[in-house]
Amino acid sequence: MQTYEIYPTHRFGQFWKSHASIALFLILTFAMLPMQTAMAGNLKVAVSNYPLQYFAQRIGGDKITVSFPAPATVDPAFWRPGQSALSVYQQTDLIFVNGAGYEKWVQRTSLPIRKLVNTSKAFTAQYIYEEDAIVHSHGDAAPHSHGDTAFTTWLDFDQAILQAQAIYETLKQRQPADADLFAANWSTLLRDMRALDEQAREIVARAPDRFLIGSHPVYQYLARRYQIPMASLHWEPDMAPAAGDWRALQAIIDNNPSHSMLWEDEPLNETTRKLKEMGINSLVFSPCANVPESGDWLTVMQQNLQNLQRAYQ
Amino acid sequence: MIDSFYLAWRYLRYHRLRTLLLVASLSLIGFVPAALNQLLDESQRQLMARADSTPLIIGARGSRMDLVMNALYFSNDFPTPLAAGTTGRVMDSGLADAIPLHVRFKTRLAPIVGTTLDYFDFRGLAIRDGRQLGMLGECVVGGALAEKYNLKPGDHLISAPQDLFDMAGVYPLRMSVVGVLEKNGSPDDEVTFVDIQTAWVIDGLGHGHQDIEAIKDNALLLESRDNTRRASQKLDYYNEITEQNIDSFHFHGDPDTFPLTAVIVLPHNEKSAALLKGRYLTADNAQLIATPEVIHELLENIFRIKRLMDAIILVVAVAMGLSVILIFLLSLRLRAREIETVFNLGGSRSMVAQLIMAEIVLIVLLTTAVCVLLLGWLDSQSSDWVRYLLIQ
Repeated sequence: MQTYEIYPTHRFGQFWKSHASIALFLILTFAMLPMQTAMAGNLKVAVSNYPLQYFAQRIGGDKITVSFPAPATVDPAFWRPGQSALSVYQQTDLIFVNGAGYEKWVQRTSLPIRKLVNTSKAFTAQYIYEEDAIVHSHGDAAPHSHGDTAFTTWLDFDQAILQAQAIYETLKQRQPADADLFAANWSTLLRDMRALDEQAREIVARAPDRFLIGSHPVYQYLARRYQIPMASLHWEPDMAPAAGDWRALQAIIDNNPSHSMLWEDEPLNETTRKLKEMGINSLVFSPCANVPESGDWLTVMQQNLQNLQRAYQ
Repeated sequence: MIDSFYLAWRYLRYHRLRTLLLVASLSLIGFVPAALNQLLDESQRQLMARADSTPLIIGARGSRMDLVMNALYFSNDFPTPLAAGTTGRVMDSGLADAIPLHVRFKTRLAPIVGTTLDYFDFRGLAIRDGRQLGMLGECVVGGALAEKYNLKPGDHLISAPQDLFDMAGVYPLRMSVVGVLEKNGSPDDEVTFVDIQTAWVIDGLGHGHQDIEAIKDNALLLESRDNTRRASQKLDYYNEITEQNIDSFHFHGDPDTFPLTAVIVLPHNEKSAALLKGRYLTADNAQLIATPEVIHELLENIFRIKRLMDAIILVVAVAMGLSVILIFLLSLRLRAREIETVFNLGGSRSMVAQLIMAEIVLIVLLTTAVCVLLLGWLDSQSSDWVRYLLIQ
């Protein structure tokens, strides 16, 4: 019978081979422990749309943990959280909401109001109410539903600055130990957002009377801030407009000739072609209410402004 | 001495009915003032504990007692409603946090308390079964209420109609029980909690119905002009909020004007509390109340009445004591032959005195034992009794 001599070094190597996975696990666990400990102490913040998530992450950095429970495929303005998403909001330290009627689900759910921060509170008096919204009343009581509020407040970059500032002030108050970091981050973000605002003003100033068409009523604050004459339709990028929609567009351009239409996303090729035949260019100006496929809120807005430039060439 | 106690015990056992009556009447004299004291001490403890944990509340101008009793103990005395915007103004001042309360409605079983999730954190209320409030139309019930009526997550409660004769009024709301709270020995154990917005739906300020724009029936739509639609009272409102119809629920009017019964104010520090008190001194339509002061006033009145009752009980006790002594002396006369027998058996006067003292000592011991048992039993029940009988 053949025997094999097993040398101590061989045994030593076998030992570590068989236990290497355990060793690796222990090393990784202890290496991640400081990071987890740090995150466990982080201020937990939940937001209702992506612009707020971006602002909070830029300001808070790695000192806060930001949650945005809405699925990436939905428009957060028309999303209602289920029980698990609602639990995220209920158990967080701070809840940043857009306000201006953006989160209709807030009126239908239970949230701790001490943690709720309306980031557009500073300009509540400047909300835009849709004039042609249907209002209703009951019985002989006077109408007391004033219709929908325009809620894409962050497309006015000055208002977006106020919203980001509300986040900064709240974080500074809740976590004063990191106030210096928050202030430095806020300063950087503020510079970037002021650059957006300034660039938008410069672009529109080239032809302030140029009439634009909005494919969807989401550009109210953009139009007001930069004094862009604009009319809006109710078109969707991924749906072909009906005959009545084309007639509505024709009625607009008969009174206000226009060569540019702003879209929330790339429209269908057929729609783009037909608009081109009418002398109207399709330009994407995305509200970026949810997480973009690439880039971030700032790069999306910068791309939006590049697209807007084409309307003023 | 032991022999005297033995004989005294045998004598009392032989005349058990007389002994029972004597012990009962003496126990009553001893128990009633002690019980009264105990109940009042317990009510003072409960009232002050609740008031100390809720130092400040804001309500509309009016009865301070109604406001405090309704806000802290959910009593049936409804204060004048206060505008909901008060909550936001307090929070915006940066001086305090604020928790709104709406305590005007009841289910068949208990008061409905409309508030926000902050209330549960404030009172330290934890969920025992099920989960916390989530959606409009849901409720969580106090632990004692759930035990009493065997309520559990998945059950339903209906808000009681406010006016049986208002046929065109808002229908009661059928609410889903989603959670049961841990008991914590407070009035919170006996109520049903809903979100403040659900309370406003019950109040008729919010409702759900079919889409107005889709209505074609002229009986339902009184007027349709430009962008205005006026629906008739025939329009059906949903009386239960479900996953299918919740998106139709909406409120009419400015939420800042919606009613509350009180706002609990949690100042950040003493300076903030002082500043807030100063601001509300001159407010026309609202008052800021330090609840311990109001409870102190209530307790002073209660103890004033107690002192009167103590005096009356003392007089009754003295009269009763004198009666017992008289009965005892008379019984000695009736026992003359018995005492003579003791003398004839060789007993001395001191022995007779020992026998009588032993009887007295035994009666006192029995009376004391009965009082202690009764007071012990009362102590185990007093917390609930005080809450049911004196506070709610």
